[in-house]
Amino acid sequence: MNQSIRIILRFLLLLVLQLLLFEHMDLGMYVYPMPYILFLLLFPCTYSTAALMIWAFAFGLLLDFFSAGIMGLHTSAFVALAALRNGLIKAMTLKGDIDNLSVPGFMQFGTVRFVLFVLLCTAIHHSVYFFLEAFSLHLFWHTLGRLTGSLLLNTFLILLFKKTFYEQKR
Amino acid sequence: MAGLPYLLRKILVLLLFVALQTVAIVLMVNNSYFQQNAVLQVVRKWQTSAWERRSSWIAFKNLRTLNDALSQENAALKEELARLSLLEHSLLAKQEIPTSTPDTFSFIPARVIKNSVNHRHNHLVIDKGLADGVRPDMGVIGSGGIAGVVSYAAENHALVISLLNTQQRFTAEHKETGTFGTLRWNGVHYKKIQLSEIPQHTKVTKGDTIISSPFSLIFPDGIPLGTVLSQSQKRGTSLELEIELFQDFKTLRYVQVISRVKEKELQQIKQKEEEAL
Repeated sequence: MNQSIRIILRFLLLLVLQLLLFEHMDLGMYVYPMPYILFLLLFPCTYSTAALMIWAFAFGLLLDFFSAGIMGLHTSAFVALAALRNGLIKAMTLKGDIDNLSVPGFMQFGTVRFVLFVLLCTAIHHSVYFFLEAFSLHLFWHTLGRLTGSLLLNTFLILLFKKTFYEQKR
Repeated sequence: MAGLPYLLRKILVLLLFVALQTVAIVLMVNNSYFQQNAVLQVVRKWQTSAWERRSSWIAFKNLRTLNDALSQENAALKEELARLSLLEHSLLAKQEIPTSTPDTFSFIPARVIKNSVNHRHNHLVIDKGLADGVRPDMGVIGSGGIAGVVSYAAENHALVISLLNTQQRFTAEHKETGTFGTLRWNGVHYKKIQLSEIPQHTKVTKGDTIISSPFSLIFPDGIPLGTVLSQSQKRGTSLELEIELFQDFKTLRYVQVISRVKEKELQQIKQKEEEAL
C-alpha cells in the first residue's frame, strides 16, 4: 500500500518535472534532457516485467499526450526499456543475488556496475526514441550524434538525481 | 500469474510487450495533430496560459533586439511604400484602376507562445484562434519569411506546424529563374533548409535568393526566405539546394497569420481538381 502511493507520487513528480521543466530546456539539437527514465530504475529488482511495462506505457502515453510532440514516441521507447530492464539486472548481478537486492542503486550494485547499468538502460531508451523519431537510416550519423549527446547528459542527470534524492543514508 | 508455468509466463509477457508496442506504433503512424488536440481541448487551455506567461517573460527580455528588428522592417516597408505609391501615380495617370476586387491577403498579427527548434517535428503555438479568424491550413509568416502552417485552431489559440518539421512540405522558387521546387527541412540545423526537385539545367549560384512561390496557395508570392548556400545533385535528375533561412526560429516571437480573401473560391477549385483525379 505504502509502496504504491510512493510509486504514484514519483510518477506524477517525474511527469510534471519533464513537462514543465525539461521539455522547455533548449540545449541545442544534440542534447534532449529526458531524466524521467529514472522512474523505471527505481522499481525493486524483483518487480514483474509485465507490471513494469504497464507503468511505462501509462507514463509514456501521458507524456506524449501533454507534450505537443509525436504521439507514441516516448511510449514506445519507455515500454522497450521496461521489457529489457529485468533481464539487464539479471545479466549484471550474480545468480541468487537478486533476492537480496532491494532496488538498483550505488550501494547495492557497486558504483561502477550501477553507472554501467544506468548507461545501458538510457542507451536502450534513446536508441528506440531517436531512431523512431528519424524513422529512417537517412542522416544516420546525425541521429547517432543526437543519441550520444542526450545519452551522456541523461545518464549524468539520472545518476545525480539518484544520488541526491533516492539513496538511502546509512 | 506466479502459478503459471515459466514458459507460459514468458510468452504472456512477450505478448503484452508486443501489444503495448503495437499501440504505440499505431499511434505514431496515425499521428494526427488535429485529433490529439481536439481530445485535449481542456488541458490545452490550461497549458496555453502557462506557455503564455513564460513567453511573455522571454518576450520582455528580448525587447531590445526585437525593437531593432522592427525598426529595420519599418524602414524597409516605408521604402517599398514610397516606391509603390510612385508606381501607382504613374499608373493612375495612364489608365483606370480595375473595378473587380483584387485577390488580396489579410494579415492577422499573433504572438508565439510556444516554440521549439531542437526536435525533428517542431511546432508553434500562437495566441490567436478561431475567434480572431484563424482557420486550419492558413499560412503563417514571421519577419524573415515562412514560419509554418496552421494545423489546428481552438477558440483563442492555434497550433502551427513549423517550417522546421520534417513532415511538412512547402513550395518555394528560385528568384532569378522562377523555377519552383519543394521546400522541406531535413531535421539537422534550424537555420538551414533544403529546396529539392529543381531541374538540373537551372543556373544557380551561391547567394541567390529563394522566395515563396505563387503556386503555394496559402502564402503571398515573393516573400524572401533565404539565400542559397550550396547545391548538389539528387538521383542524377534534379538539384537540391541548401538554403540559409533569413528567419531565425530561435528568436521568433511575432508572426502573422495569412488569410486569403478569395480563399473559398480557391478551395472550390482545389476540390474540383481532387475530384477529377
